[in-house]
Amino acid sequence: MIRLKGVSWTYAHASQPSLRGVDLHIRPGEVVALCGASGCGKSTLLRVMNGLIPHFHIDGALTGTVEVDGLDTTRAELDELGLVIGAVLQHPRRQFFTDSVPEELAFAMENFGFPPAEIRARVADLGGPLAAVVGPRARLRQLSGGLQQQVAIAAATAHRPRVLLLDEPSSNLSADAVRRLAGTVASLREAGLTMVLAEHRLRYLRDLVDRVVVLRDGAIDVEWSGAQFRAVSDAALERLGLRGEVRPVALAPITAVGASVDAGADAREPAPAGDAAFAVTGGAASGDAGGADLELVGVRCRLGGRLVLDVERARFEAGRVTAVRGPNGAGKTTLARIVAGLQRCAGQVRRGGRVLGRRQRQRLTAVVMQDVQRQLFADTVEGEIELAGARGPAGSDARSVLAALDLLDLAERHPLSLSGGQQQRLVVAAARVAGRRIVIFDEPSSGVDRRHLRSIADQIRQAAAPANTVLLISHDDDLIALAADRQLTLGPPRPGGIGRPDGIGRPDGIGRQNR
Amino acid sequence: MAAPARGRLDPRSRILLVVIVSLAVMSPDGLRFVPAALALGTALALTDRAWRRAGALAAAGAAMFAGGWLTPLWWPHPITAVIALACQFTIRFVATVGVAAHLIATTSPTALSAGLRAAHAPRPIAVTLAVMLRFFPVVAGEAAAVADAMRLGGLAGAGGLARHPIRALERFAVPMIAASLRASEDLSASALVRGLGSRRRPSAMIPPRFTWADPAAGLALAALAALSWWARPLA
Amino acid sequence: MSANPQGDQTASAAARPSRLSARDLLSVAIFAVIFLVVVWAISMLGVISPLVWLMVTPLQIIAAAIAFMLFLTRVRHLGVISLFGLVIALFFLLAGNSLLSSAVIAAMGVVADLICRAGGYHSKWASIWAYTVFSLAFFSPFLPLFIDREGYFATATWESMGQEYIDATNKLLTGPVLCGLAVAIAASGFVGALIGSATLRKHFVRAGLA
Repeated sequence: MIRLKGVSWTYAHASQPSLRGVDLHIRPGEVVALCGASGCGKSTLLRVMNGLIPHFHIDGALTGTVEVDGLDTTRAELDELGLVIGAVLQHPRRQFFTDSVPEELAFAMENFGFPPAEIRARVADLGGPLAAVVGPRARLRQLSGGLQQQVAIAAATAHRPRVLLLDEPSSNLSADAVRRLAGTVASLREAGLTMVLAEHRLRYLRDLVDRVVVLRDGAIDVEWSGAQFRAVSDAALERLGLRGEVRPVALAPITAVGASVDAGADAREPAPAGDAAFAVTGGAASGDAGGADLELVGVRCRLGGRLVLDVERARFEAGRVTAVRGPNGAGKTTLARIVAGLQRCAGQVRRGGRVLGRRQRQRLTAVVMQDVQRQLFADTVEGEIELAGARGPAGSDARSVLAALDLLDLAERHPLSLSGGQQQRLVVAAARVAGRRIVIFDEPSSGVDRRHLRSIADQIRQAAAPANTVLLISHDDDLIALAADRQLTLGPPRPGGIGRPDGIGRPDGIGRQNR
Repeated sequence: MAAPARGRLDPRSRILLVVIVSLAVMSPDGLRFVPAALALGTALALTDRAWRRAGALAAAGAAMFAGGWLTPLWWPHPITAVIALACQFTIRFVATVGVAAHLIATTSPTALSAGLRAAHAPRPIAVTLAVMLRFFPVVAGEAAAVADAMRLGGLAGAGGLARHPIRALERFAVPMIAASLRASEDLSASALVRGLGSRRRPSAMIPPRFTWADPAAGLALAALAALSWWARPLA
Repeated sequence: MSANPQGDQTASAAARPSRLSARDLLSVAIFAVIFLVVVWAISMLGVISPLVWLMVTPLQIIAAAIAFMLFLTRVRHLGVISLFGLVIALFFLLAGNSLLSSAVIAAMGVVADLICRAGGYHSKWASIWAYTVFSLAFFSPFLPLFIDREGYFATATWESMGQEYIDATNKLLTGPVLCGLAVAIAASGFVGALIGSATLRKHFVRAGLA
């Protein structure tokens, strides 16, 4: 079904080839997992298979031949290939073209000119089970990550391609959602679809894969049959930079009350309230560290007339990392924006008992955003650090901070040319030079591969200096287990049952244009 | 699930409505059409059951009318004259935006594309406009996020802009463009793989079809235009 | 700017037909949106602090130049820049520009396209001149003054300001003054293109985006 012969590809701006001499033959109906450390060429190999290389990523040099279902991908048009190959890219949220389940499912069929009646039948067929869960008018961006992934897979297979390519479908999914993903993969396998998955987590595919291909530096390193793979130990997988099972984690909850606080999730182990408890935990740091705790008092926020966050009281301890958890639409981002002073709200934010105004919070807070590119302003790494020093209370000099974060070699590079992980480290370094006391990480593991999870976790830990408060917004159980001490679980606020059920947004209005 | 909402206008009519209203209101003598356009926008919002939009539009129109025509009568003064001028200028935009909001709120990128195709717009234009409709919230979101990051970094503010305008621009435009390109890349790749812009003749899950609502809207529009022409409100 | 692939099997060359590909359409769409959002975001600056209002138009022209110059690095054949000009013109039309002004914007897009074609689509100076021409789009709102001067001032807005004010403005906005304004805008466009081209080298080329 897919036949690669001596395939090599070098991106125009890269010094090294991303793929070198890959020979791979995938038979009809086979399920193959591609794995390997970050940068090994997994995603690039998928792009070669679906023709995005060389038709979309056109700058680079491709050698060798790629044939999918008899089509030479370099000669065929992208839409010819699209009829045969469905593809699910890494972030479902970023690839949706429409905002409703039926339209998204119909998208490919409409473009390929299927008869309207057939489209409607197929959409009803595929969308029925989804609609039963989320409601027919649900907005895609308000669904949970797991449901978004299901919609993305359904949308990629609606036009009945014979091959499906999935790029790290399990990243950013909760343990529960990974189980559902395994079910979806199993039923597609049942239906005879040829599938290629690039993955870091492999265990959920244990009984589903026919072959596992391990890549290293753009070439095939090891190939296991399904049976051989099942016999490989977790330790051997770890040596190759691969991850085993995902386990749900539960941490001790912080002291928090309010309509937005998901009492069901956090009530199992009520944290002791009052200053006595903090005297003990703060003692590990220093005498006044307890005085740097961050408190929210009577914080209520409405966006577009809808109550999105209602926290009567919450206390984030200084010197600790608090994970902020909860489903999409629970107000996690709003909470972070309020703490950072970017969002107006009713109520107070206090640090060490002092009420902080919005401007004060803006000066005290650093946010490591989901897409770090948004906060890189200078034209060299060193310039970025100097810029941060110029606006902060300075003190530590740029080069020593760079050295501490292992960025000294990159000092002359352009920040936008760094990898996602390096960019994150740079933003953390800038926050440190600027002397920020509150550090918020917004989904720091989403754009970064799994192998760097531990180094991200280390950075988050380091940011939690005794007088600092660190908030970690994340869906990633692995990261939370490594990096966080406490948790705050939010849910959609339901004051007196007025709140809408999760997953259903405002049906119409100008607001639907918002992200 | 696959049936068009009852009484909703055909996407072609929605596009045409915006174009007609925009041309009429923005023409040199366009103020006379403003009350009619505001009424139309509010009525469309009401049929969409978008109560907040209807309320906001009516309130904005009333405020502009008060500022632009009532205040100078009540207190003739250079300050009120300047405010009046600004309001008389802005009220045209309020009127156009009110009708455009109906198009944006009710028309998804795929519906817009189907509508333009049905109206025989050339493929490159239909596809580009539909994709632009999809990219607008993405890019606007990135711009807002960069502005947030600048505020947190202490890089925002009129002072910096006045002292080093080019540097301020660079600090906004470069991350905003880089982040927008990155955000658009997955979207573009996924859309291409799913046949967007394909040379095959695309179809539509719900082909655009004119219903009783379209001629009704046309009649209402003609009546409003005639009334405006004859009564010359605001002129 | 973009390394031409060298391998014998490079399909990139084959996949570069002269008609508009889906990839071209997507690239026009994203850059047109960036262009419009940049222009809009900067006009918001003018609303917030009236002191900087006078600076806003040159700033818009310069900031838009950064987006436009990056867009030009992705253009490889005729029609792409023309399409860009056309969709920008359509949005300006909906935003209240006159039909005439919008037609002129679209025409400027075609001229810019031809200039870039003359430069083989990878010439720095062709790109700079192309933007200088395209920046006249920012002058297009004044065009009706040339055509229908009476009509322009006969609107309720102007009448409400009193005959003296109209006369003063009418005297001020004479042909030569308007031409001067057009030249000033084109000069901003030229400076913007230079800055945009420098920004490309300083940021986007080094970041691997151009």
